[in-house]
Amino acid sequence: MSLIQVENATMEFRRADARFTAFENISLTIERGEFVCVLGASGCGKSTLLNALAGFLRVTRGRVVIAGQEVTAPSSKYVTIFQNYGLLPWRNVQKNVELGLEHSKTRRLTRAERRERAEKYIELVGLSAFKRSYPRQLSGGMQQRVAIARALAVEPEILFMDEPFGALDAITRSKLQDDVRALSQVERKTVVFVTHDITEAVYLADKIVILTPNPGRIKAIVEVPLRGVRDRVAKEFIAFQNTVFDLFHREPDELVEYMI
Amino acid sequence: MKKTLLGVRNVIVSFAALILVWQLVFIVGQFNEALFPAPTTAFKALVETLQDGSLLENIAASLKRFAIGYASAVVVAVALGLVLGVLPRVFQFVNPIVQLLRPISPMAWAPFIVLWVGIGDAPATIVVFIAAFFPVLLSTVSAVANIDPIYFKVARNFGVSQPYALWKIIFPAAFPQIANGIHLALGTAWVFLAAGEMNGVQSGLGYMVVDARNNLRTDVLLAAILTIGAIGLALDAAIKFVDRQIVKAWGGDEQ
Ligand SMILES: Nc1ncnc2c1ncn2[C@@H]1O[C@H](COP(=O)(O)OP(=O)(O)OP(=O)(O)O)[C@@H](O)[C@H]1O
Ligand SMILES: [Mg+2]
Repeated sequence: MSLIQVENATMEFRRADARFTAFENISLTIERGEFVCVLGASGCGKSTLLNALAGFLRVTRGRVVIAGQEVTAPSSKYVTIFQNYGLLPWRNVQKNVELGLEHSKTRRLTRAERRERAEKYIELVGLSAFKRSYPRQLSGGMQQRVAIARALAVEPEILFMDEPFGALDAITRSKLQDDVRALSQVERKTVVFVTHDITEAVYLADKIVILTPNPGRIKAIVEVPLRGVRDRVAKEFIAFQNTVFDLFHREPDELVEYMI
Repeated sequence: MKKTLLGVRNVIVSFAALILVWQLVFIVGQFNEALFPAPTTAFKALVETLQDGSLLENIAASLKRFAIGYASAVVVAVALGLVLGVLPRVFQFVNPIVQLLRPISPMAWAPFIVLWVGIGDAPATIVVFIAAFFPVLLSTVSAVANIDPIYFKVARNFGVSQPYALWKIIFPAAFPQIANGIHLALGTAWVFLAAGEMNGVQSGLGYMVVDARNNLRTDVLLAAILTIGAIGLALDAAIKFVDRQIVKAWGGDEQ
């Protein structure tokens, strides 16, 4: 059974008496350990879909099922990483990473265990030297690393990421892309990663879900045929990137071959 | 540091100018000393009340009432404001009552307060409490409403449920804006302290004003007034300093 199953999900919002459909009839499955990118233009409902998967919003129709259970509320089994980090500015790096460990549902960790666990993940994202720093003293890229460490520290099954590198410069972004890909493999996480950057999706994903707007619908789901460490300038990489680019402009009936 | 020094210089220049103009008006206008004391007369009264110890006693009495009234108002109003802030449905019903009570001058309650709690420290303390309570309450509720929604998401995601979320996430996230309300309430509360001390007490700066009037000592009256102003100014400067530290600690602009 797939880890994540979305069955005919539709999301409507009420806006001043009118109903607005953010996305409609979305069905998809995500396997354990898969890295899935949700790709689409601004406003096509990517964040809304991710919020529905993460339990922040409930779909109007259809279902979202994770590990056999319908999603009704957020859980620290699946943690979301936001574009603007969501760090607590009044806590230092160490204390930020400990946040999710202070309210563990399963077993209360002692203070020493919390500290140890946080230190392990701070080290994993390469910020050991900044344990005592406050978010404002760190660059955007470093802050996002803290958010990643905080998410990993609760040892979730799934990471949801909503344009996590959207606010970073190109060099920092590509460094973090490398790190997130490596981390997701080492830590064996399932990742659902929202982006509007085709190169980013092709670089990271095992599978790309392409959405179209008004209302958000799935246009295509494509497996990325590239294996192992990817090279952004390799011929196959660029070729596949062009394929994905083309998909945005295809008519629906031309897409069938990619859906398999 | 340079900026503070410049600030101090401006304050000195501005006060010197005020005193100069005051003295000039006094000399040119040929006013009756009892109706319009000169700065020198007021200064003499200041020294006199300092030497006989009455000024410091009154300052101490006022500051004690102020500290108790203001601090308890801040604690109660922030706690209540946080709870009402996360329960907007409840606040809808509480808000009309708050809006009804808020425009009533704390002094209007003074007769009732004296009837209920008698004379002594309590009435002036309660007046200060009322004066500080509503601004802090309302600024806390609106601070909670203005918290970046991402903090609520983070709290839910990591299983930080109530009442922990209130203390660990919501209060600190709203704190800079709450601090702003606390700051504004300080000035208001200080204004009403002196008024509150004009009934039912035998000490404090407000009492000193009334007492000087009854004894026709306009020089002491003016000395008391200037003391009230000077302490208000000092309190404001102190809380401004605290405000800046808070903004800094919360990652605001460090200028
Ligand atoms: N709570 C809400 N109430 C009403 N409309 C909403 C709400 N949340 C999102 N929408 C609307 O749903 C649509 C999809 O929004 P969403 O944020 O999911 O898009 P997105 O694909 O993430 O865009 P971007 O790339 O700009 O982040 C938008 O038109 C948005 O205005
Ligand atoms: Mg979005």
